[in-house]
This record gives sequence, structure tokens and C-alpha cells, in this order.
Amino acid sequence: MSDLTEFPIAEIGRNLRARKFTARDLTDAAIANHDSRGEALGAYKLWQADAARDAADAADALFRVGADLGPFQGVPVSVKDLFAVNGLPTFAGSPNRLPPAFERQGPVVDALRGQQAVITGKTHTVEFAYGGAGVNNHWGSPRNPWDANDHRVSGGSSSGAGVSLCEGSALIALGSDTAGSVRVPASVTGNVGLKVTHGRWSLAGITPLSPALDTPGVLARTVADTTVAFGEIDRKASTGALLSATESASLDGLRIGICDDIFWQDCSPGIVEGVRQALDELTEVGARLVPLELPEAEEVFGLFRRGGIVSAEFKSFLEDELPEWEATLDSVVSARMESAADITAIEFVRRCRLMARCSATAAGRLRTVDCVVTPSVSITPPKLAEVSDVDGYMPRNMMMLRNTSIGNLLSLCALTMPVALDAGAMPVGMQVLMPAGAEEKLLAVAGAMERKLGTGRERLGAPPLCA
Amino acid sequence: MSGQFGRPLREVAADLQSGKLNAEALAEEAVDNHRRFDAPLQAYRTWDADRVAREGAAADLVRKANGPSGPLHGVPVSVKDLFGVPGYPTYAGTPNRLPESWERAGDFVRRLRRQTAVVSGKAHTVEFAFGALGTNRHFWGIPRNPWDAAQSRVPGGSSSGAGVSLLEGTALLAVGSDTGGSVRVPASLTGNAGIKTTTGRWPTDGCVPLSPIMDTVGLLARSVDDLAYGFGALDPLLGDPRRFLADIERATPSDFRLAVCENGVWDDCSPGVAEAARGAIDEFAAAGAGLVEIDMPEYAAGYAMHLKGSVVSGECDAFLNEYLPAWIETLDETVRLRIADGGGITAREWLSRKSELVRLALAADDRLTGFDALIVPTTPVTPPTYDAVEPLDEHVRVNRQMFRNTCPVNMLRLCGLTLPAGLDATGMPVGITLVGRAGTEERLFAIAHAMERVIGRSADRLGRAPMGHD
Repeated sequence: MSDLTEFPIAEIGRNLRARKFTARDLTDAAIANHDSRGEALGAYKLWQADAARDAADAADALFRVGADLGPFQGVPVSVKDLFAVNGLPTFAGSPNRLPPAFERQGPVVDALRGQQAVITGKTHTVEFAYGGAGVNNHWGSPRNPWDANDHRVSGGSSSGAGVSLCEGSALIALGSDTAGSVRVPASVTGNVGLKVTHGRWSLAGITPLSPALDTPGVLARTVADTTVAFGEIDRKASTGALLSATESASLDGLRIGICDDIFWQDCSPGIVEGVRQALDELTEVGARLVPLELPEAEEVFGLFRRGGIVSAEFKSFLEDELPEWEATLDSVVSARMESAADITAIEFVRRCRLMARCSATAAGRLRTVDCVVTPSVSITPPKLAEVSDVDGYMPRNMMMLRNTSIGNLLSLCALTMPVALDAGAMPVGMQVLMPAGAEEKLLAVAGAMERKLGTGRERLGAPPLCA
Repeated sequence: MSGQFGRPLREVAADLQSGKLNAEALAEEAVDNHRRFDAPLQAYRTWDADRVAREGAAADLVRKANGPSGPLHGVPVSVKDLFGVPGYPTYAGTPNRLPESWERAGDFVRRLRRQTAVVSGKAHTVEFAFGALGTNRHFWGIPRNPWDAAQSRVPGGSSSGAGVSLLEGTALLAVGSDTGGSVRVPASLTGNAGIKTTTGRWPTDGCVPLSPIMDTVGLLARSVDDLAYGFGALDPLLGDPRRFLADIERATPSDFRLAVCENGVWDDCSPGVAEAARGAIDEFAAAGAGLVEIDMPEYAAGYAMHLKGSVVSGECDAFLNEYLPAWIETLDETVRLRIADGGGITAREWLSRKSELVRLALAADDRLTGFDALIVPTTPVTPPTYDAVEPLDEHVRVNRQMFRNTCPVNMLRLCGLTLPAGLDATGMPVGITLVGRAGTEERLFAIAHAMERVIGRSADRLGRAPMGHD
């Protein structure tokens, strides 16, 4: 393999430590990939090749004296421009640089930077992360590399995250997920995305959208890489224990809950088929598909369509912290912000209680299965032209977020993994949902699934614009 | 002392963090100092000048790249050759390099790495850390106590190179381990400060075990102020040494009520030792600290337990047989004798010693309730010359005396901090130890810092070590 960035992170780690190649070699390869593919794709708000080379050189200097700070030492990582990174500006997708308070790095970035990871830059986001398609009318919308003919959206709000993985400039991409902003871009670009349980990882250093639902998350090319990232960022987990749990995880007897309602309706051609096919393959090794009633899904999604609590939380944040940013809001964002911004406090509390109640009853139902599987995104990623005006945008945005938002609203943790191409040859993700706090099991099960189904690259091939 | 190695650690660290001083230049200064002082002193088992400079350069590159940093960024730290440091061999004081698994970094060394501290080298240790004098019959003549230019005296052990590395100007902080006094004894005999943490406070993985029940990681530094900075930087509960220093600096002598006990700790001291220790305590009392005489029989009971081998000999014996059987053959005679002290006991006897230790620890905790610390002379004896402890029986006798006041702290599951109090009749350093209940390290630092402000730092109170870095 000539492109070093295509190795799994664990193998890269072994090679760096065996001095087969250097962090600088790896970073140079990532930079070369960006130089050859990046311009057409537009993943980054801020691309910093020189700083990346310096960081790689520092990683190598540490390796040469035997200093090993962890699996991310010398590994290129992209960061959504919603996260503060010391020394870099934060725009959060808005036209203007945010005040210094939003540039103070938090624990998630600390965890990777503390290992002398190589930050390649800050990836594009929908303005204030408020949108699932990946549209940003201020800075441009990254292009989905899976369609060579048309500019299709890359999913949002972490719109540059999945693209940075596809182009081979980053091996891990940090994103955030309030209703699907990690899983949607991961799914439609053929990558893996992990949304952790709300509250599991600190939100410090991340510009808020809806603090009651916001979660940091990770995009990676494989479940295996995602597992390493989770193990290193999470304070409780240990990467070694996670990897050995994955190795010993079996799909034999695994009870996969299938909810016939909502998740599987109105999907674009090839999506249901793609996920069904993957499920059939999982049943070959003993997984059992168990019908599961989950009426709470419909209930909370109904709430989400009415603006949920995000609209009110976001508007109050903007007015209090960044009032000058309101006038310039992207039309696709302001339309959603206004949808339920003016609900009463009583209504707000009612909505929170509805979510809490639904989460509790859903948790009870989930006890009868090991996980729930759904398509991650119900529609094929639209062409940019279809979502450039608000009328075209709103219904498609809602459909892109439908299946993922339910995971946030029911307080679950979730992962998407690539399993197929749809009728339009765009990637299809399979969403695996588990109860709050079950990330370790989620990663072990998904890892076993990946062993059976193959990685995205093995199953889907390479994106035409990154071949 | 002149140069960076004569300055307070907190100031050097601040300059490193601001970029006023670069880590490579400081590493080069350590290399120069080593060239000038090491020939007679021999602090290190493994010293690699080129590597030290490269570690400094790496720290600078990380800083430039906005990478991980911490309060010990660029600070040269010597590491006892009992700890695995990737890239260095581990000998643990034995004649043969230990298997590769003992070269891996444990949690503590990883903490140093995360802060981009510079490892200055692997400092000498008594074989398997089992001895207080700091001798090692595998490597004659090393290391040497820099406080006597005329005669070759022992530096204290088992972290025998740790204190010496500070005096030769190659490290600003030294990492040691303490199972019966192995941090406090060398700190005291070389005129440095040293902290023995409570068992369990700092992880010991990555360190060749002597007695997992008793082993603790500790630090040595040239002053209490430096030591507090290092402790604040490396303790996961603190993490911010400047805030820690600001906290402990608020205390005054009159905030403290200290216990002094007889029970043997003042008996049979070499000329000038008790006087120097008493002198420092009296000055602290005159500045307002409260002193209360107490009776603490547990202290003597702890020493008696130590003398019969406690659980240490058995644990060491079991460890060697299981993991390093090939190393038994070549054991230093003094170490072999100590393992024999308790190696052959029955399981029933071993268990009964363990429960006796639990009972003693509970009683000691009760006894010290209401006091901020107990205060004792760190060691009762002047560091002997190498010749004086050449005969085996003399070695055994002095070794026991050397541990007498320190080992009860381990046996009773307490923590202890030694600081320099003065010089004895032969001009060798004398230390006093503050002994605290389990987990009260922060309190010990507050007392010691207040005391240091009263009696002066080592460099002021004791002067310069005749063979040390100028």
C-alpha cells in the first residue's frame, strides 16, 4: 500500500513505533492527499499544512527519545470548527470569528492533543451546527465525494468531517451530534460515526447548540479506528480492554431489535434494501432479528418536527452570548431557529418531561434486545441545488435527521457504519442504537459486525472523487 | 549554585513555559554539569548525553507545535533505575539488564512524558531497592556523597543516585521509590528534601517491585519549595503546582500542632545529629509552631516488625522466584541476607504479620489524630564511609540504624516528608521528617514550607556541598 493514510490506526501506531515510517511521512501523505483531492471537496474551513508538519516533527522527536504519549501521537486528526483548538480561531460556521471564550480548548481536544496528535485543520460545519444536510451559505458546502457528476451534500452539521476522512487528510474527525450531526455526515460519506450518551463527554470548549442534547462525537473510517479514538478520549474506558472485548464479541444469539414503524418508512430507493442485506448477513452468523415496538420514537420525532427544545435553547444562547451573530444567520439556520423559539417556559418544561418520559419507557423496552438497528439516514444525500433555498431545504433536512434524532431524544448512544450503496450509488449507513452508557458494548458489537460485513472500504469501495 | 540549576524550580519552569528558556539549552547545561561533576560522584547507572539533549529538543518542538505541555515542560528529572523508561535499559541495581517488559513506562513515567519533562538519565539504586546505605557491591565506588570531599561516604539508599543527581546539577527533580525509607534516607544524607507518599496515592506500575504492599513512589528536590512544585505537578488530584504553592504558602507556623515522641527515635544518634534536628524544631517552635510530647509505641513496634523482615522479604523472595529467577544467583550479599530475613516464613506467619500491620496502622492513625504531624530525625546516623561498611556485619548493623526512623512510616501506612535541618559534627547533612496520617501529604507540605521559610532552604542553612555543583 503506497498511501500511508490508508492503514488502520492500530497498524500505523505499530509502524511508527517500529520506525517503519515517521509521523512526518504520514502527515506528508495526508497533506499530499489534501493537495490532490481537497480543492474540489472543500472539507476545511482552516487547513494548516505547516502547523501539521511541525506537530508531526514534534511527534517524531518524541518517538526518537522513547516518549510515547499514546495511540494518537503523530496521527492526523481534523476538528470540526465548533470545537475550540488553542491557537486557532473558531467561526462555528458563522461569517465572523467568535470571541476568545470560544477558543479555549476543552477536554475532548485535549485528550488527542495531549498525545501530540497532528491537527490538520478545522473542518466546515453548518452554522452553529444547526442542520443535517451540510449546507453553509457563508462558506460553501463541502462536496460529497461519492458523486462525481453532481455536487451532493456531505451531511451535517459536521459537514467537513466525513469528507476529510474520504480525502485521506485525517484519520479521525471530531464532530458533535445534537440530532445526528456526527452520524449523518458519517453515513452519507461512507464512514463510521459514534454519538456518545449525552453527558458522557464534556462539552467544554464546544460552541453550544442545545446543551440538553449536544454530544461530542467521533468519525472514523472503521469501527476499529473509532474504538481506539473512544478508548483514548473517554476517561473510564481503556482501549486495550475495548479491543479485546471486540475480539471476543460474538454475534451468535445477538438480539437485534427491528422497529417496523417510522425508521424504515419513506426511504430512498436502495437504503432499506442495503440495510436489510447487511442484517441478513448478520443472521447467517447467529444474530436474531426481533420485532420491537417503540412507539416513543414516533412521539419524540413529532416533538422534534415542532422544533423540539433546540430552537428555544439556541435562540436564548445566541441572544445572550452572541447577539451580533443573529443578523447574519444563514437562512437555513434562522428558519429552523424561529420554528419554536418563542414557546413558553411551561411548554419548554413540558417538552423536556416528554423526552424524559419517553426515554424511560424506551429504556424499558430496549431491555428485551441487545440493540436496535435502523437505516442511519432515510434519504439519499440531495444535490446542493435541491437544498439551496429554504423551501427545498426544510423537508429534506428533516428527513436526513429523522432516524438519528430519535437516538438523541431518547437519550441513547448510537453508531453508524457503512453497509451498502443505494440506488443512486451513494453510501448507506446502518445505525446501531443502544441504551445510555452502553458505548463499550456498542463498540464491541459493531466491531464484530464489521468483522462479518467488512469495512466501508471493503464493502463500498472508494469514493469516485477520492479514487 | 550558579546557572539554571541553582535557581528555584518554579522560576526555571516558568521560564521554560514562557519560552524565555528553551529546554534544549537547559539540557545542554545538564550535560555540561555532568561532564564536570560526574567522574567522582557517579549518580547515574545509565547516562546518555546525546539523548538528554534530544529530549530537550523534542520538548521544544512540542512546545512550538502547541502540543501537550505541563508544569514540568522541559524540566530535567532523574529517574531511579527501578522504573521502566522506554529507550533506556533497566538494571534495578543488578549486574544484568532486565527483560524488556521492565523497560515499559508505567503510569508515573507517562505522567512525566505527558508534561514533556526531560528524563536526565537512570539514577543508581541499591539492587532491587533493598538497602538504605546506597551501596552496591556490583558497582564499586559509586555513587558518592558530595558532602565529604576527603572521604568517600555513602549517599543513602536505595535511591542512591537520586540526591546526588540534584547536587551535581543534572536534574531539578529526582524520582525515587520508598519501601522503608529509600527516598527519605538519600534525601536526608545528601541535604535534599524528599517526599514518601502514602501507599496507593501514586501508582507503582512500571516500577520493579520490592514489596507491592509497601512500595511507594516519591520525589527528591533541593528544597521544600521545589519539592512542592514537583508534587503539585505530578499528583493527579492537584495538577497545578502554582496553585498548590499558593495554598501552602498561606500557612504560618502557629497554624500547626506537632507531636514529638521518644520511643527510640532520638536514641543513639551520631554526634551532632540530634542537636541539628532539635535546633531546627526549636526554631520552628519559637516562630509559633505548637509542640506536644507524646508517647507512640507503634513507632517502635513498626521498627521491630521491619527488623524481622515484615512482609517485604517474603514478597521480594516470591517476586524474584517467579519473575527473575536467573537474578537470584548474582544477588549482592547484603541483599541476599535481607531476603533471607523473612523469605522462608510460613504463609500463616506471613498472614499474621499482615494483620499485625493493619492493627498497627489503625493504632498509629488514632495516635496522630489531633496532630498535624509527628516530627522525628530522618536518620540517626552520619553516613558512613564506604570502608566502614565494607565488613558485612557492620553493613547490616548500620543499615538497620539507617532505616530505624523511616521504616515505621511505611509499616504504619503513613506518609513522610524530610527536609534538611543542619549539619552534624562531621559536617554531613541532617534531615528531619514530618510524619503524617495516610493521605495528608498536602498538610505535610504546608508545614514543611512554613518551616523552610523559618529555617532557610538547604543552600542557605547547610551551605554548599563541597563536591557539588557550584
